[in-house]
Order: sequence, then structure tokens, then C-alpha cells
Amino acid sequence: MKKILNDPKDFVDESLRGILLAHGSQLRALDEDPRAIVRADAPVAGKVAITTGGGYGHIPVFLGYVGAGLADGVCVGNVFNSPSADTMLAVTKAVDGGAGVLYLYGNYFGDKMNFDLAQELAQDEDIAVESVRIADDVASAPRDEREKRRGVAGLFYAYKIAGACAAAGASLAEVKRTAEKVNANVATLGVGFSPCTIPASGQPTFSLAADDIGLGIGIHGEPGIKEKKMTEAKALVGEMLEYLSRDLALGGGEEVSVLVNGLGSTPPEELYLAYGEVVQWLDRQGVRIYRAYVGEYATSLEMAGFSLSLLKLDAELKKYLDAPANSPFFKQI
Amino acid sequence: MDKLIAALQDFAAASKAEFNRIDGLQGDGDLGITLELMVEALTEAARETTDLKQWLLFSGTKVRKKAPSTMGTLVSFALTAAGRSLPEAAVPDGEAFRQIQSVMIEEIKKRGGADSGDRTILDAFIPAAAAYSEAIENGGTTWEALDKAAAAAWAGAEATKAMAPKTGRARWLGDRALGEIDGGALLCAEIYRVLREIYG
Repeated sequence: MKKILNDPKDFVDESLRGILLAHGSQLRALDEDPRAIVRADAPVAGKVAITTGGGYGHIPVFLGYVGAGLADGVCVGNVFNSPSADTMLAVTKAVDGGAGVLYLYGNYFGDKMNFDLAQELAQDEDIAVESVRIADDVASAPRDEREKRRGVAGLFYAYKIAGACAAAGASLAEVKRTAEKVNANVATLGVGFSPCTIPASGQPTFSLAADDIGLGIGIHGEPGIKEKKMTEAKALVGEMLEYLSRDLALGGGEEVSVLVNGLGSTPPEELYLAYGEVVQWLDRQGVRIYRAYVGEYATSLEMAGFSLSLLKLDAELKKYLDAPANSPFFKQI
Repeated sequence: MDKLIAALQDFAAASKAEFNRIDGLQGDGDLGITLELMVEALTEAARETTDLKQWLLFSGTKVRKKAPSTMGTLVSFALTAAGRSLPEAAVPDGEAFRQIQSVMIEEIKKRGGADSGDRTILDAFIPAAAAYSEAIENGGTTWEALDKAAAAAWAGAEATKAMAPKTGRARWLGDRALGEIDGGALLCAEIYRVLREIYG
């Protein structure tokens, strides 16, 4: 296993140490818990705070979106494992600016269990907390069972939009409503080419034959819709967009934002090629694109492959999408 | 209490690798580590109190902090709920154990959202608690009840080999999990075995 690490058990803590040393002006860890990381200027008084969290290994998800116009704090779990309720509670208390806290994270069983407990504990201490779990992966469940879907790259849109809403001074109920609106209007589908390997276990997260790809494989290696032979970009992107546009009931004249997300070891040259195909396909449907994001927005260590996300837009979502944001891993002016 | 702690420590050390292996087939391979951390938490709690109710409450909090995996979190909820349900200065007798088992099962069902047949710890725990309860009602000793419970837990764990998972990370495996025993159910069966040996 050729990875940059010392003792695999220390992978997360040593990696976090490097992040905090490199970006100490924007991020800090709490003294009482090195896995609780917040904006350097937290708490921001009077603003609804947004906390997030989940397993390590998906940078920029979750930690990469802690910053101005985005989230205020994150709890970091072991690689692909849920963080503890106690860490979430510590983050909650550290970012609470008196206007309440929104827990915004991906829809995964362990995270939900721990963060629901943290919410109860925070509410016992008179902190108002709401929760929204993003469930955008169309491969994991049909649309009428959306609450079972996994949360993947669509989380980026949730952070961006809910973060902007909070930064504009909205109430907790408003920020929650906005996050739920993103959840209802975003759809993502990914394709895996090759797996990543978890440092502590030394095991790859899935296996595929040499020229097979896995449509819908999850960011922890969860099985997808089907395995098939690799095809040309035009056909692959077209197939993925069929799923997405059907899921969102996307029609001509509508406007979307597009996210082409590399899962960790797919180069930008290829991601941009895919984006070109996306533009052509959407253009043929009469769908307009407002803002495109191409790069690594939600990875799975060194997994190869990419995901496409479409966010159906209206005036409100566009306004928040346009707002500036600044974290060590994502900047928009 | 000391005998229980010592027995659990030996058990955890001896079976850590095997639980990691089984869990690796259907989860993220950390069940053995979770077991070790949970036993550390129970040990620390036992150093702070010998009162059953307090020990359960302290254990619940410590397990939550030390072992935040799904199993650890569910066990921590269950221990805390069991502790809350006992009266002050509760005596560790057959009736108290019956209540502890019943409350733990309800809490795991509530928090985990699973039930019998979903291929989880409950598939061993529920039959074990039922067997224990029946034995106590029929006038059996604690050992006799634990003996029946351990047998029922073992049978329940074996039965998980034929179940496809409905919850947790194993759910994504579906039919690929058939033929393997569920790690959580096996853990439960082994704990009952340890308890039976102590009380024997």
C-alpha cells in the first residue's frame, strides 16, 4: 500500500494536524477535542451556525466547507466512519452564536444516529438545533423513497446555499427551509472506475474487472446500479444525464447548475472533457446552465471515477449560489 | 463485578482479531476494536463505582465517547437506558437482570430502527432475553437462566447466517452477506457465554 502515512491508526489525526498548520488563520481545533474543528472566528454572534460532519476521506466534504459563507464547524470521524455524538456536541457549543444551529450532513445511518443524539444533548442545554440530511444519490433508492438515498456531491450545493442564507442573517427556520429546498432539487449520479484503500484496514472498498465501471457505486464503495464495460464519454455522460434529468423531471427552458466532481484520482483534463459533453446534452434538451463547478468537491480518497450533479434553480437559489464564500478548500468571489 | 470485568477483558483480548475479520466481511472491520474499547469503558466505570445503576450510567457515557461506531453507540444508548430504568441502589438479582435486558433491547430497537430478522445483534439478544425471562419465571436460578439464554443467543446468532441485512452498512451488501454469521449477533451470544461462565 503506497500511501503517505506513518502508523495507519494515526492517519486521520496526523492529516488533520497538517491541515490546521497550513490553514491556521482560517481553521482551529477545539482544545478538548482534536476532531472538533471550527472557523477560526467562531462563534459568529447573531448568525445561524451550520455544523457538519462525517467520516474522513472525502475532502473537501466535510471539513473543506468550513468557512465564511459556508459551514461554521465540523466533527471528523475515522476514515469512512461516523464521528461521535460528543464531538458534534462540542462543535455545536463552540459555533453557537445565539441564533441556533443547523446540522447539515450526508444521509448515512451512523451519522444520523450520533447527530440525533447530539441534537438532543444540545437541546437539553437550550441550544436550538435543526437537522437536514442531504440525500442526492439517485443510485441508492428510487425517487419515491428519497429519504433512503445516500448523500454525496450534492452536499456542496447545500453548504453553499444554506451557508449564504445564514450569512445573510436569515433565521434558523429559513436556513433549514433553504437547505431542504436544495435537497429537493439536486440529483447526483456517480460512476466508479477503481476503488480506494482505507489506511487502517488495507482493504480496497470494492472490486471491479479491469475494463468494467460501476454505475452508482457509493463514496464508501457501496454497490451501485450496475457494472458495465467502459464506454465513450459521450455515451457515458448521456446515460448519466438521462437518469438525472428524469429524476428531476427536467424540462426545456429550465435552468440548472452543474457539478462535475472527481472522486479522487480522475484528472481535471478528463473532468472538463465530461463537462463539454454535459453542455452539449443539456443544450439539446433546451436546458440552460447557470454556473458550473468542475473539480474535486466530494472525493473518496484515491477512488477513480466521477459524479455529475444537477441542481434545478430558481431566483432564490441563484442568489445564494452567487454569494461569495471562502474556506481553505473552496473560494468564490 | 471484578470477576465480570476480568472475564470481559480476557474475552475481548482473545477475540478481537476474529470480530474484526467477521466485521470486515460485511462492514468496516472494526467490531473487534469496538469490543476492546467498550470493555475499556466498562472497566473504567467499574473503578468509579460498584453500584449497579451507577455503573450502567457511567458505562453508557464512557462507551459513547470511546467507541463511536454504530455498535458502540447503540450499546451506549442501551446501557444508559438500562441504568436510568433501575431504582437507586438496585440489587444485581435475577429481576434486575431481566429488566436490564428488556430495556436494552427496546432502546436498541428504537435507536437502531431494526427488529428481529434484520440480521443484527437483536437476533441473538431478543431470544436470549426471552429464554432468560422464562427460566426466571419458572423458578430457575440465575445460572440456569443464563445457561438457557446463552443457548438461545447462540441459536439466534447461527440463524443470522440465512438472513440478508436490512440496516447499517451491511445493507449495501444484500445477498452477498448470506452464509456469514452477523458479527453483532455473534458478539451478543459470546457475551452471554461469558456471563454464564462467571455465574457458574
